[in-house]
Amino acid sequence: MKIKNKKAQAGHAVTWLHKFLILVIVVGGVVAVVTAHYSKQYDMRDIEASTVARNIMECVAPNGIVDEFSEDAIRDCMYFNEQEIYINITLKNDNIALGDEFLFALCQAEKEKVKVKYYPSCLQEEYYVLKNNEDTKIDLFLAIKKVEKNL
Amino acid sequence: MEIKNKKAQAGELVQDTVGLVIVALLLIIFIIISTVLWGAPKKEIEKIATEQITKDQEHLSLQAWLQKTVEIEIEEEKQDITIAELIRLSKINPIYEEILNQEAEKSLGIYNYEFNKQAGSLFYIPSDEIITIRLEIK
Repeated sequence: MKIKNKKAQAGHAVTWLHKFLILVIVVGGVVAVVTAHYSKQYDMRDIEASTVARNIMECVAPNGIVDEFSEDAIRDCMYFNEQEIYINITLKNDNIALGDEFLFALCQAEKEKVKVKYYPSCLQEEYYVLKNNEDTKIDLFLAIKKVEKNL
Repeated sequence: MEIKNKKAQAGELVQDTVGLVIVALLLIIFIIISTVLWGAPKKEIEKIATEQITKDQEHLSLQAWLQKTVEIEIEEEKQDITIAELIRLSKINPIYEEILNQEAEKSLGIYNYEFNKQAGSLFYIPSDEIITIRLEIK
């Protein structure tokens, strides 16, 4: 039905807008509640830790043979943000520690079940490699923070 | 019921809108107060893990071991050969299997080697037959 009166037209528009607003609020509310209920966060840091560990080992012992074991060798070989990561590598009596050491303390806290808001992702691995044709064990400890980025 | 009086129509519209705003405000106040009193609802965090790190570890350790040079006696003559070559020898002559086991005990730490085609770290050692080897935790 066509409305000819201008005031009636305006009134009709306001009523229509009002109904539309109510519809938006109701649908928005339903979507918000369902999303809040069913959505969850994913922690990707364990996958990142395993990739970083592989990169470190490729720097320290390419093809399983230790080439150069030094801080500079790792820094030159790969990029990492020192505020987001802690690397500790031990090869016999040599030890290299890079990054934020506080992350190591947080990993210890997680082990001892101390309550902290966010724990880093912690990884402890051992590799058997060759150095001058001798069997050598490498202990690798890795902690990744990245709470804002990958959690 | 349809209201024909225009003022009454406008009044009803205003009433509905005010009601809607009040309900929305009450909801927001409720959410704020409950968050302050009991904290924000805890969101579930799902950890996505991978076995890749274990495979990398086995892969690298096995790769290093296969390249290790050992001195053994072949036909009364001492020779330097790699573990990969020793594995091939052990497949031809079982005498070398014992030497291989001793070397594995010395070098592989927490691992044992095994010949099979299971998922995991696999190495195909070139030989007359295809030799497949992987590491497993003791």
